[in-house]
Amino acid sequence: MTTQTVDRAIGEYVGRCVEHLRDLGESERASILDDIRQILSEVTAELDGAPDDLLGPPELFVAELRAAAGLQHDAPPPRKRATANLAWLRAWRTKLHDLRAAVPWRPVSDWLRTLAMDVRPGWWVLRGFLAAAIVASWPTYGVPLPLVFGSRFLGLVTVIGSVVGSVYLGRRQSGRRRWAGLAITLLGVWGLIIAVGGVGAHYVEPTYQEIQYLPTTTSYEGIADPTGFGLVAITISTPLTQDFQVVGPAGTEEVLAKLFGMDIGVDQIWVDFGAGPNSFSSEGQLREMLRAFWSDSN
Amino acid sequence: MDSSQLLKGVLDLAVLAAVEDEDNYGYEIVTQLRTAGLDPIGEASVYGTLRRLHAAHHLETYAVASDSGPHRKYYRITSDGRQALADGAKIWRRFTETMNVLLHEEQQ
Repeated sequence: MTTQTVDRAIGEYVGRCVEHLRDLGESERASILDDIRQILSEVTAELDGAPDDLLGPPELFVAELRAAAGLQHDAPPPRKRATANLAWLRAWRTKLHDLRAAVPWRPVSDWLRTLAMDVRPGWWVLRGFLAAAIVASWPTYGVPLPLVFGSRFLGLVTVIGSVVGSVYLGRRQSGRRRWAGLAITLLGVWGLIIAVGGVGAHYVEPTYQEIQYLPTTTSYEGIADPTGFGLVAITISTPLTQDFQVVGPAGTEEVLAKLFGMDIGVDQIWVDFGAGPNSFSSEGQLREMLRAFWSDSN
Repeated sequence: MDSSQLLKGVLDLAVLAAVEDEDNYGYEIVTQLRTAGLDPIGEASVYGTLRRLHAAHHLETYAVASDSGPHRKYYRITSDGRQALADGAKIWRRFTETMNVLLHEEQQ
């Protein structure tokens, strides 16, 4: 690193340390910051690396330094007795003080980091759920691997590479820069959304809007209806997915078993009999309507 | 047992011992302690301890110009610091002797 780069990195690190020293007096805070600046100058002269990598995140470094120095966070100073004349003023000051204490003044990133630590147990639970969902979906939808350029092998390689990379980043978590942490977190949330959608909607088909003009005919994308009674497009919506199937009387039982076999809470059933969409809310209603439709066709 | 836990209890003594014979600056004290075998010691712990010992008047400081960066803050042990070091060393020796006896009995 160039001298300018090092100076900038040191300045940035020291700036982040300030947040964790605000409760101290100005001269003490300045003295500690001078110490930190000196430590960083010495360490970066000896070793290569970003300050976060060499000393750890500022909050932990300052916490350790304060613990060793006996500079724990001060309790609020005891209140002086208010005189009668200034009682109202002191009351307002107290209210303002309480209000300030109630508002999270720390930088947003610190707050997000704390939040992330708080929700980690929730993520562990969700991870367990996702693992179970993948296992559960296996028999129905096959090997739960992404297709990369149409290849499951490349998908497997990608998954292994991503897992190794994710673990590596996780283990280096304490030393990484703030923007990198935020980027990784956002990437993780994005991936989580895709994962939740992917597990739930592994078999997502065209949405209702795309099929509402589908004519009910005797063949559709290679599906033929040997009975000639007409094919029906069925879309089942759940809170997470939409599943779409084309069915004729011959394959009704099999298709309905598959659609309702998802067992994840049917929200709405849309059926296109060729004359516009019809909406139902239960499997029984749907069966009744299909039976009636095919009876009429016959 | 984690040696870093033991270290916390005797860090004052170790830091005072590091400047007993020669004045030194923070990072060099860290290096000296690590070279002596206190590997798990962190910069923050040493600098925090230096501040506390300075506040307790066991150490005093002075600035020396440095070629490689800002002025270095050198630490010098005071007479109070020497007394604290001598007292601490006595306690430490008594403690280690007791522990050695206990551990020896344990082995037998």
